Amino acid sequence: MYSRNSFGSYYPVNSLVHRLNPIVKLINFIIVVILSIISNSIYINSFILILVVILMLLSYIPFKYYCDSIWSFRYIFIIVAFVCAYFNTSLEVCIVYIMKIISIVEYLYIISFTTSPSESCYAIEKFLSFFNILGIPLSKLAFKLNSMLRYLPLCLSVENKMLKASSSRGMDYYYANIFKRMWIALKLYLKKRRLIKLKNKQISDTYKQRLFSLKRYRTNYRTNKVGFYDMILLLFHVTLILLYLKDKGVI
Amino acid sequence: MEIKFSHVNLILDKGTPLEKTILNDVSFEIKEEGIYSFIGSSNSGKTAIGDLIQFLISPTDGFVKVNKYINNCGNQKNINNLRTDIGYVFKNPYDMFLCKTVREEIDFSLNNCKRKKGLISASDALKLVELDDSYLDLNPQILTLSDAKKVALACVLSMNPSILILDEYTCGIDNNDKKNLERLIRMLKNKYKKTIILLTKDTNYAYQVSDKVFIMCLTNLVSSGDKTLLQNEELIKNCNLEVPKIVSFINECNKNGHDIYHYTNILDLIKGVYRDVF
Repeated sequence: MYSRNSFGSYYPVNSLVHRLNPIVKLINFIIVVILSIISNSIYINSFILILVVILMLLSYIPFKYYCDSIWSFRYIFIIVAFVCAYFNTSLEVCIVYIMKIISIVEYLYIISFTTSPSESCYAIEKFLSFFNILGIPLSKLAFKLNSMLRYLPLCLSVENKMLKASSSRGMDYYYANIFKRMWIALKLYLKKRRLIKLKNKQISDTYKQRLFSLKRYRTNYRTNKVGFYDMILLLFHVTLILLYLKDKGVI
Repeated sequence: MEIKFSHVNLILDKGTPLEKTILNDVSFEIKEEGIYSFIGSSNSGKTAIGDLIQFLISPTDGFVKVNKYINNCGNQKNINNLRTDIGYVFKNPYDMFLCKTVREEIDFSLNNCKRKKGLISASDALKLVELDDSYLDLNPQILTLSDAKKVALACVLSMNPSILILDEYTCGIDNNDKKNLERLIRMLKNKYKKTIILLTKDTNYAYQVSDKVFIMCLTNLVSSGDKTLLQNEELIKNCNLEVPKIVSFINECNKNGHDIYHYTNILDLIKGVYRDVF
């Protein structure tokens, strides 16, 4: 009865996507997010989706992990469909919206599955290094962003433990229907918040114990140099931008 | 209460590079009340047995039958009745705590029980585990490991379960608490006809208290029988377990020409040695 949701957890296998430079991955992700938001063309969104599927296959992570994530978004898809039907929008627009959600969510899954916490922290620090000249405390910012990304897995881990504990003592969640599950989730909500806070405190104590300092860079090493495959992948993403510009008639 | 495991396999992340076998073709049956110990080193699959009995996970193949309930991936109705009839103390007691105080924690268990007969109040449950009422208003998350384990046991005992599963309970508790636990589980077995299942790697304790032992090694159930099984040093060592000290001592003495009966209790052993030597 282990949780379907595995967002934010690193999946340690040796694949081409795992070996890519984290900064390039971050830039590619930003390109995909911006294009998904601004483009309403079904062709551009289809290309993005195809690219995402290719990356999924290259990551050597079982497809069912990604399918589970799509399944957990089923209610959002239904809501989107209802909203589109309510505003009398065409079927094509509705499909485009669903494709956008899938692309962004799955790309985020690919990043979280294939990038370790230290790599992602390194990527954020390097990516934002431009702001060094403005005197912004980058290492602190990168650490906070990384902590935010890893907060969700922590919540899920606490939630799984709570559900197991409550189920073993007569408040079943696993075999319950959707309404009962919602009732249990509401009933355990405040307890969950308190336990997450406690867990956060434990983590911060561990950092202190290990003499963690925000005043200096933690990731002063160079991971995964930018290589041939990084450039190829970046080229694909740049092509998407060019396609968008062509679609808009700019070039 | 009857428990039956029939060719149970449990594989996590099946078909993925992270595939991990937890249980491999495990079959056994528990029919009568008694103290049963599942002994095995780390990663032998002990905790999975507890989780399967409580229907917290489903087997990949085979089935687990507890009374009329069958755990084989199918949907279950009224599972809460079964779960409140099986008390399960987790390996990490802090994982069991959800509430702000010990009183709320025990009341959480009591409120989830549909049957209202035979339930034990928070205060009485604490007395059973040798804790006083001063613990009722404490935060369970700040208790010491030993006290946290006792509170977790009290939460479970308050539901008056027919089966009590203790996962690594003796790990991290002192000798005095071990003796109290032994007294408690013997009372539960003899007076209240309960089934107690110990999931442990502590062979010394298991040898002392168990009626029947199941030895597990690397996801397999290697052997089962009465506790004389733990006198087989070769089997125990092959399973990466510690031979009970009392057994090693008696075997050593017998090798040197003495004839000492295999006692399970240290006091009986002293008497036996005294009779044999003097």
